[in-house]
Amino acid sequence: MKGKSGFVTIFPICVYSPPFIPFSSAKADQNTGFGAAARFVITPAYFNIPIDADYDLNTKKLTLYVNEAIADFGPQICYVYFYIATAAGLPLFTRVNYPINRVKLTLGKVFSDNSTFTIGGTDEKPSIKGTAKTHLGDEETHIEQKIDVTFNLKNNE
Amino acid sequence: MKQANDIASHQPYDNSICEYLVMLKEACAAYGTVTNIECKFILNTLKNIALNNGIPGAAGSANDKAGIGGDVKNIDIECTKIIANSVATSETLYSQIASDGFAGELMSMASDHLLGKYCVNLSGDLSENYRCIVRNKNQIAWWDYNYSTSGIISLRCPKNNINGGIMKMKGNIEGNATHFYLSKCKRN
Repeated sequence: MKGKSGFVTIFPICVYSPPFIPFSSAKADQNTGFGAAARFVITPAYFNIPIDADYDLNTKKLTLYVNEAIADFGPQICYVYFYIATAAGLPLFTRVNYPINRVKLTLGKVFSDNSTFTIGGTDEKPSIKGTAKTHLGDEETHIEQKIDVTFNLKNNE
Repeated sequence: MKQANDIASHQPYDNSICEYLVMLKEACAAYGTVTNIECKFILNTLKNIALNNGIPGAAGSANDKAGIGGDVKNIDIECTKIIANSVATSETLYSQIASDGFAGELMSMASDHLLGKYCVNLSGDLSENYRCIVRNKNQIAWWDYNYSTSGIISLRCPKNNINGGIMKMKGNIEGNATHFYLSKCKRN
């Protein structure tokens, strides 16, 4: 990219992207039994967020509340860019870390906007299929964020 | 408005007996994992993981497909594990670590049984997609990333914990990012 009057040229290079695995370790570990501590240690981009819920037996509604996270995307979850700039023939170098919003923030927001879900199924075997969406800002604003969450809950007995 | 205020000022509920049972189960699982890797040779560690987690995991999946759950599933997994260990090397069955591990697994099975008997347990899958776009003053996106997460959501509470028709449940959402994506846009 050329700067003002063409005197400055900047070359951005992405030198680090956050690591991830393409499956959920918590789901995969349901039968193998390594436990949450092992999953926390070996899973990149891991999160564990306590929640509370009010299960209303009369209105058949479930209200979710998101609490402070036990673990939420370690400090290695970010993008790192290296910038090389040449200004009037002189090279300049700088490194910039671009943070990524944590899951507690995004889930907390989406569940504060859409906190109540209808309980289906029977009294003995309740089931909940929830969808929650939040759209913050739009194309005219400085920051636009879209959060989509889907979940299902059922009795395991 | 009242509901929005309630959500904003929410204080976490106190732990119930169900939470302590889950903690006990997690402690037993952590102990089992530590005893698996507590040996001098990497091959032994891999063998322990295969025998103590891999084969029982396959047995658990088979039980899930057959629709078997609860205590029957746990006992089947434990028996499969003992048989696998005895076929691989009978010495491991008599070692101190094996007997400690077995005690830990019995404790884990007992806490599972108590959880099923005295607690309401709800669990399932959860997935999230998040996208963030940052624009400059000319409305040009200079930073646009998204990520997907996948995990499990679980809720539990004691069966008799009903107050005014409302059960106050506790639980957690646990998972990891399954995808990070950065759009090509002007970052300089």
